[in-house]
Amino acid sequence: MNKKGSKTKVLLPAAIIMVAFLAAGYSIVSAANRQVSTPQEIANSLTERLHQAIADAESKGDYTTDNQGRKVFAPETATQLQAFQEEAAKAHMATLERPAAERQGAISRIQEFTSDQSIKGFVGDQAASVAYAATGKSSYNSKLNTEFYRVGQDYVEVDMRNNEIVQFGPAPVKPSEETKKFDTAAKFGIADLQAKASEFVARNAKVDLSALKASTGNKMDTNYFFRWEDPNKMLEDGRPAFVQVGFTIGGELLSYTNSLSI
Amino acid sequence: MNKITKALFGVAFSIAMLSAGASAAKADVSIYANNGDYYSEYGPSQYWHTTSNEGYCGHIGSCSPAYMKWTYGGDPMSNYAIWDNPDNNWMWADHDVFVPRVNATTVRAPYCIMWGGANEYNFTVDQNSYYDSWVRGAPAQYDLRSTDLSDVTYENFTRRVGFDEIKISI
Repeated sequence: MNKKGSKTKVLLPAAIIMVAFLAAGYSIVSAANRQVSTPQEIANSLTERLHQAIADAESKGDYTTDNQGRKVFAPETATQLQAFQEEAAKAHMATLERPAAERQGAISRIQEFTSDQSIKGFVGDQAASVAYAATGKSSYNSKLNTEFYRVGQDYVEVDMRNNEIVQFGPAPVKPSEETKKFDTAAKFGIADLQAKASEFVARNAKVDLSALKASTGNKMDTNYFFRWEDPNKMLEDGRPAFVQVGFTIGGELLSYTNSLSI
Repeated sequence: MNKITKALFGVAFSIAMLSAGASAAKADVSIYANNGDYYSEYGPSQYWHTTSNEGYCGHIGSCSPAYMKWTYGGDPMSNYAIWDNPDNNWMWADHDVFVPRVNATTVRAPYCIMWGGANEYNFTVDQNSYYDSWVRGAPAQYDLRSTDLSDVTYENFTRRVGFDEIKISI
């Protein structure tokens, strides 16, 4: 019997396992000092930091008033808190979002959507530059997370399950930014816009409009909206699901919403 | 009028319609009405206009109030409204504004979200391009406490600012 040989036999496999463990990037720390590593843990940590920073700022009471008389934090505090929120918000959304590589389907769909002639005058002749902005609760179904993208001056909500457009329209902008401008020269009559809308919706929403209840309205006699509601499908708030498109009398797309499959 | 709470789709999902009454239990979605305990409006009363049977509760959802409010946009500030959003303290929330199909024709509706004590998030919405639709005002705001909307659109009183429901989703 070789005692020394037996010890070697026991220790060598353990050493191999240990090396493999460390090579895989795991840290050996005590339970009390467990390192933050999952997206949720990172989000929780940054949210806690933000929470504490807000509580500290409130207790310090470093306020001023803005030009509309609201009590707001002084600029330096506000800037710091804004930076903390942006970082924490990114971490929070990272717990909701799908991998970036999977978002290419949404980007392609948005580029296809915005290649339509009624939008083309806005985003130019090249394929639209699409930027991912956020993942969060759908504006039409709070049980569903959807993605939000910026394309030019528009904001797009996309259903992650199938990369279909839920809503497209002018993005909210900062007060200092230019708002999107539309062609409101009288080039199309209402009947022409109706036909345009029906074709646009049928092509993008891929629905049989004859089964839906149609209605039309306008704002300022320049912006016309065509809506089709499904009386057999209700949104979470009890109203009929709908698909809707708005065009200016200049023929430009204002907004589009498809809540039929959300 | 009382708070309306709907339980939909079973477990752990609710929408709270908040107008008047006791403070809401935590809900996944809270819709803050343009009247009641969570809403305040300011400015000369003759500049506030009400359109019945329009807006989210007016002809979309089965809730109250069954009207929308509006005022002309211009400069300097004359009329504004505040929706208190007290049920989202220390939570992450998404923020939507409802744009009615009528009397919301400004291209620069100036909203301001107060979050995290006394921080501001300012943005404008082109109400003229939306029609009976929810518009995402802000994603992922932390400790969202209130929303206000004023008439400072710099549009020389030719456009109308629509005041209707605000939705907070946590």
